[in-house]
Amino acid sequence: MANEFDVIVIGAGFAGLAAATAAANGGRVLLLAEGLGFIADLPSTIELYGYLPPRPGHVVRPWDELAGLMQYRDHPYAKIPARVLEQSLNMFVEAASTMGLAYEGDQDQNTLLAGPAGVPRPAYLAPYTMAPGRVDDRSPALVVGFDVHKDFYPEYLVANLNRFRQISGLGEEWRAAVIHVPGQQARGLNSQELATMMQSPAFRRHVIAEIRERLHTETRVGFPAIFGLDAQGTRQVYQELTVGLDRQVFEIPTLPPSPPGIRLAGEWLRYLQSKGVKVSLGFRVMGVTAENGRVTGVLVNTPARASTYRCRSLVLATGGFWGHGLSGLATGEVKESILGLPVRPVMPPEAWGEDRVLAPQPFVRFGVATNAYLQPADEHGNTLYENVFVAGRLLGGYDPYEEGCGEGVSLASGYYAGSLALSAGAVGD
Amino acid sequence: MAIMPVRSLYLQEQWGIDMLDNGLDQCLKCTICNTACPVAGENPSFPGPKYAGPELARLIRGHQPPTENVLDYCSNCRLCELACPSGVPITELIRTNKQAAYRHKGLPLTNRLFARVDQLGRVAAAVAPLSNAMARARWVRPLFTRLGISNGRPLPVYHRQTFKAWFSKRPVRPAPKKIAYFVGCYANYNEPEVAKATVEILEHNGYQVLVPEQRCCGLPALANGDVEKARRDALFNLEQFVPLVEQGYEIVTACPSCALTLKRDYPETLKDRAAAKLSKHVWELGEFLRDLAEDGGLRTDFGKVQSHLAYHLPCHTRSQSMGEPWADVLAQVPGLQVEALDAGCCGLSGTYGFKARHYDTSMAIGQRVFAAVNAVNPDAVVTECGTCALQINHGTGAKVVHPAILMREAYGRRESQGGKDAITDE
Repeated sequence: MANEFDVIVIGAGFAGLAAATAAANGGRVLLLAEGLGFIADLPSTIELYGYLPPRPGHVVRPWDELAGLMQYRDHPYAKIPARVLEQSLNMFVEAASTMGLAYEGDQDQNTLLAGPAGVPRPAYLAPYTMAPGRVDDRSPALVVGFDVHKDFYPEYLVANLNRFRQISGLGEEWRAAVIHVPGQQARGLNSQELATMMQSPAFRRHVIAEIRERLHTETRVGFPAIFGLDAQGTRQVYQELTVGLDRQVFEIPTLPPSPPGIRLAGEWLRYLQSKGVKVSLGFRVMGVTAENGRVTGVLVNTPARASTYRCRSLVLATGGFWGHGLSGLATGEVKESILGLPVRPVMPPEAWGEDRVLAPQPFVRFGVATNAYLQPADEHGNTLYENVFVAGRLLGGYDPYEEGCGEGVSLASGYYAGSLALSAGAVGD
Repeated sequence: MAIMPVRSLYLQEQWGIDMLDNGLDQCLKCTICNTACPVAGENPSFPGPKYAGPELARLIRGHQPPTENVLDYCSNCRLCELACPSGVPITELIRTNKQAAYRHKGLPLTNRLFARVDQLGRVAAAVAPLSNAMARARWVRPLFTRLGISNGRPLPVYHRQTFKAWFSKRPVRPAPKKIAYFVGCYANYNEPEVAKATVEILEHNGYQVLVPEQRCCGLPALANGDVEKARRDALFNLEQFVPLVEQGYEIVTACPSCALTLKRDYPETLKDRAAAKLSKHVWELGEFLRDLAEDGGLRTDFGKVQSHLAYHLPCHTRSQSMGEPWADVLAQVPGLQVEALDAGCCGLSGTYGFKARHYDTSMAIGQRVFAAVNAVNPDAVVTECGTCALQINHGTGAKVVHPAILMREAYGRRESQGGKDAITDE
């Protein structure tokens, strides 16, 4: 039947796409999501483990430090075998390279890259367009911005970065240059619009000519991340700028919308479809059917009539509060949104938040409690649904902002959940 | 087996008066909608759905009418709503904002004109083919310019004998299963062959087809900011169709935009209980036939139709979240080799691309579809949307055919030579 699947994945963020990628290896997979995931807002770099409290302590060798995180029983990394974590990253790098988005890393070390405001941020893997932009080596760079770009200020970025470079004893300063975009714009352009402009050969020629006039001895040129909205367009711009400037060029993430995120999300969805995954975006899952502790189908709130899809197993990768996987922050009773799964830790609402603005927030660690196989479990550790697997931000016990591990947890738990769901479906035969 | 409801059971039960405000408050300003908007991608004058929808709606809630002239850039393709991770009815908000803006400023002449494709159709069909000749005449062009109609693209062709005129002369063919056919303006005035094929396919599958009194579905009026006209048309259609639903009729239309309007806009925009009841019984033709096939009820006495086709999925089919029903149905016809274009929005979006101020944007959006068609180089393009068909033909010169025409062909209801009539005839 057209509406029967081995694995249904709900959610189109890093965790959902990773789960679908893993399950597509031999299964009939349906990816359901209320909309596009939030990847299009993200820089598309992969953080594995970036920060050791207290901030701003960067983790240099994440694999060596992971054991520290794994001591916390509830941390997702404590539930994912190290070899699975490694496999999930390999799976991602391989899939991304097939999509035309090669990822690079510095062997076992984090790479320090510039954030949108010039604050260095550690990434374990970065797309080839960003990896050459490391900020912790001696080679200076020219950071280029555009006068009509409302989301990127190279002078500010470079000032922040040079403070860091000075403290770190890296000597040579980075410089900023602002390029005039001809043709008066009524308002500032965002990164997505500039990425579209970059697809024009005439505009690229103008950009190259303007930069050549401003280049001194820099060996690298940094740009806001506007090389393109898909893999092919990005490759073209990257190559042309590299040749035209005769320098290493790289992208620096901007505020949303984020072209590197847009291109990763788009290419990944196309990749999944090419692997036979059915993708249905746009409508909220409103419930499931279940029998004897197993979910048997998913109901989607489609126009006119609800759609029912039957499945052997289910991956929940619906996100946290931001992605609506968790709800009830306002009512004081936090629940997982689709199955009503219990959320832990349970604490009185007064304790959810921390008054100091930049302090770690306890509610960030809320999530669905699972057993060691990512199946939802009650407070006594009993499995609630044998064929449901939880992945990504919906999992509790970690703080992606404090720990710098958001994409790592999502990729690893998504990949693990997708693989487990596929074999659980086979068991149910 | 237990069904566990989440939040609310069906959208129908959410159609309280608060729906819009709730939707507005769900906007997290994440900007994902802007990344999916075909217009924002091509025309920097449009600040994108996030601004035109939820942000302006906030101003209106604060009793400030929107003054900025950006709302008309929205083409009503509804891809933003599919992309939104938070379930915000963005297009719906944009249309409400349009209405508020035009209530303040008055509806522009161009919008008033395009809100009335039904009345235009009635006049143009009555004097066809004179109307077609006039539309091509050079001396008419300055008038078009004044009306805001693009001179860049050919206008749809009108037929003296509308579908409804043809159908009314036809004897009733009784059958136990009943269909009420919602024809739609485009099929009635511009593509009567599609409407005839629809009737013949349904009859071939054992249905009696009734064509009740009906008006425009109201979508052109909604998209052009004339909600009052849309409401009048919708109420008329509801009066005609709801009693039929109560008698056990299912409603079928071969136009994806009419289907979407009947399914979603009647209940969501009009907030009418009868509309919610109606919407459950509305089927796009391909969806109806696909489900029939899955239940084993579709006749498969197809003749061979040897052809290599490229399938374009209209945005308004996508917005109904039913997969690609026509691709599934055509896959059953022997000889047809159908390749999915998967190149996004064609850029025409109903009346949008016919406006002079949107012609360039419309064509820029269409480039991806045109390139995909040229890469596939098919015998013909197949799509269920009449205006997508016009755009693809305009952009590529390729023949574009409605799947119902192909299916009728396959059922052998027309004498054919080599089975390629539907594709090679114009």
